Amino acid sequence: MDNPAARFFSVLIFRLGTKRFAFETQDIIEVVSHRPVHTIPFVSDPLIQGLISVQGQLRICISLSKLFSDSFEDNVSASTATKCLVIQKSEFSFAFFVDEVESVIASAYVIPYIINPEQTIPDYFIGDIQDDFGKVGLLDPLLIGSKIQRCFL
Amino acid sequence: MNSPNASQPPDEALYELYCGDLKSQLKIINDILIASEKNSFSASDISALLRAIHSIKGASKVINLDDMVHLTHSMEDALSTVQTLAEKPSEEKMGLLFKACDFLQEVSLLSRQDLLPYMTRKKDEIVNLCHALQASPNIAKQEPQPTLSIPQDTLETKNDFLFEDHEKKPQAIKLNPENLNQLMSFAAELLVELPRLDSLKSYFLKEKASLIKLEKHLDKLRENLLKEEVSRGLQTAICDFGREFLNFSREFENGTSYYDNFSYVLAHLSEQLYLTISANRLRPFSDAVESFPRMIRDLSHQLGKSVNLDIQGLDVLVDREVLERLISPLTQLLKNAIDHGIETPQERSSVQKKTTGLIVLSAFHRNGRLWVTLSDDGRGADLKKIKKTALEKRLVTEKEAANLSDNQWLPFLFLPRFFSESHVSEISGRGVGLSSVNNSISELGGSVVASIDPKSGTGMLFTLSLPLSLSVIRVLLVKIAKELYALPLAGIHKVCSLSLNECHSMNNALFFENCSLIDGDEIFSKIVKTPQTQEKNLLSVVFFDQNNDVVGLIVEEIIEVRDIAVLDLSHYCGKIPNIAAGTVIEDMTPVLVIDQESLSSLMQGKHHDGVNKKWILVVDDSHQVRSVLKEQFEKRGACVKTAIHGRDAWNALCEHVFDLIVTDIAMPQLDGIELLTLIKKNQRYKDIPAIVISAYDEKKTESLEKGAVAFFSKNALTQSTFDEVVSHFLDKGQMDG
Repeated sequence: MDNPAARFFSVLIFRLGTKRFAFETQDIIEVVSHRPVHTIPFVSDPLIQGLISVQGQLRICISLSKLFSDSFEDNVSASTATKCLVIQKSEFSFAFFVDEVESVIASAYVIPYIINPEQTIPDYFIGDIQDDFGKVGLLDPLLIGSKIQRCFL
Repeated sequence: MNSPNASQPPDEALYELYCGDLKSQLKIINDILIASEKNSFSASDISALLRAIHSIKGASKVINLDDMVHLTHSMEDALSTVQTLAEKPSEEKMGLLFKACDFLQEVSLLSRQDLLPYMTRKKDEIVNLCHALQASPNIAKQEPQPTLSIPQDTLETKNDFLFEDHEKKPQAIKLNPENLNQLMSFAAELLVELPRLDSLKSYFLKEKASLIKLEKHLDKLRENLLKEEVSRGLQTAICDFGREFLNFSREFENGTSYYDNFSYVLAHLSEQLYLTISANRLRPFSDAVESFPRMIRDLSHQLGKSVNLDIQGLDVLVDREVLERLISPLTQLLKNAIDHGIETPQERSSVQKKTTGLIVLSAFHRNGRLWVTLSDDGRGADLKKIKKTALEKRLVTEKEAANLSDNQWLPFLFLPRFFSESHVSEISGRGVGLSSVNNSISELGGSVVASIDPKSGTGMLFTLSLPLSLSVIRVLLVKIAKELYALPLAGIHKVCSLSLNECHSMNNALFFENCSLIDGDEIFSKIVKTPQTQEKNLLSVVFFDQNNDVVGLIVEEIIEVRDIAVLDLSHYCGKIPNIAAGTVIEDMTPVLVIDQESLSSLMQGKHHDGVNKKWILVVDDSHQVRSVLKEQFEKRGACVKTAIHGRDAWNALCEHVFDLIVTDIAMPQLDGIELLTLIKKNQRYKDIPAIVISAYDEKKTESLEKGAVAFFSKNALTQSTFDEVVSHFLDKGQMDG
């Protein structure tokens, strides 16, 4: 390894519009087909799309692209989304639609994200994965989960 | 069987049996002592008492609890005196017997590990109690009665808790309540999923109709071909096709009829499974109220009052969870009744009432709900005081007050701290009792109504209405803003179609007769319509009843009545306004269950938002600490957002304006010290006071240097210190540190 902080993770890479992202496979509990979403009254944050049913349980469905609204214009619409990823880590659980599930890499080389305390733009990444097609951001379920929790207050 | 050593805790299985037996025998002892205290002991009472005490003595011997053996022996001696002298025990002796019961009760609740330390700690107290029991006089002499003869076998030492009873009774097994809940939820889901079989059946019927149509087409084709001259080969092919088609058709029919039978059996079995598991969750009402007679006895002694408690409907079956969550509100209502309602014997005689007050607690099923009523023949609520307080607190205007009936004043009692200045009693709390009763019952999906007891004409009557089960409820499915919502059927008053002409509008609000109507679209999707902009002339309205108010909800479409398995949303979403729970129907569409009570409050304009509240950011990497702090701050009326570490807190600060930051020190990604440094360097956030709560006491100086206004050690943080901090920042509204 060139970077001493780099580590190997098992990851699932997916596509949202033209952008590619990843989650650790241990945090993904299910990949399911597209299904109806029920909006949640009084929750106005566009991040929260609503509730969906996964294995008979209701889970919060988010619009992942809204997390990056400043820098990322692509939006997964109900018509283009093919799959829904269900994430669970610690007390947080959520689901979101993606355009495509690309691949699973059993041992991906991840360069951790360097925290810049002066940075004021919220971001939700653990680090970057470099593959043959370019850089992929590895997302942090805890940071996203915590952000979702705040939307309900 | 090996005899356990007195210095060793008893065998685990044996001790479990012992505690179980102790509890059931104690119930018998307590019930008889309470019932006999007012009257005299009957021969059968003494016999039953001695049997129960003797059974405990025998069991205590088996597990080498010598002190318990001595205690029960002394209890036997005390009662034997009663038996031989045919005397009613003195008040002192009864007190000692109850005290001995308290010891036994405490032991029955101890864990195996805590047993021996407890016995060592209490040894002297038990010895003194034994002496007192044996020496206490029998003052209350009565008319001589024939000596009671107790069959000798009653007093023979038997370890029946270990042997005989268990051979006679069906063996009980211990079941983890979580597993039972899970089983119940699977059975409920299975029941709710059953309608899917119907949709499959409809599909088969549709296919069958298509096959019949095809068969007709085939016959027609055959007839036409016979008229034409076609090759033998084609004729054979068509005949073969016809034969194959008929075979397929027959097989399909057999398959559908097999499916019909199978779906019928499956539906039946699923229902039986649900009912059997539900029955296991059901417990008699008596389980919730078994401690009440003793509580009433102790409180009436303490307050110098004389009270009889009459409990009706002991056999009424109630869902285990509902029952468990009912104990606390009922305890509070009983305490209120005895402390505030029932008068002293002197006061009662002066108003020509019987010197002994009566509290009646009753449970029954009606309209698919559990109803619990609690009435007393005491002095009732002080209506003058309620009126005065409500006017002082400007909860009603003088004009409104003039039109309120006596019963209409009583709901004010359920407001938190309504009587905040009144005297604080050790028994009935600090003026939050009825408010917490109301909250507990609401959380169960029920309601509580207070009224003047019509029987006594003066006392109070509390009527509690609760769901029979929390897992499956019957709902009316409706469509609002193109999405599905469910309204619990139990609260629905009526459903009807109304023409706009039948309604009248006032200040842009719609009314039907004297009920206000609200548009579901407006509530759940913020589509604001005025009566003038209602698109349809015919409105579908669901009227529901909440705390004697009937309100109407305009919906887009009424779908059907069905049973749903209730899914809790609070774990992921917290409390969603006006939504009680969620569910999923067979095509995987989520449905939200409307909380009728909060909707009703909203319609009455009682809804409060967080506009004037203080906003606090709690930063800690421990979920437990975040939850505790959040709960504590919210209890004090603040709005709380949480962050899992410094970096997450920085994100949260970008999104919202906070009045206070409470942070931990040791956290991943960005620690508390780094967070404080960032905050104090930033022009936007530097004035927000920050408190540090950390286990790292050595970081105190550094935290204060970096700008924290206070540092609290997690190791030494007490509830009172925390309360002080919260009061300082919230109650006094001082946010300047």
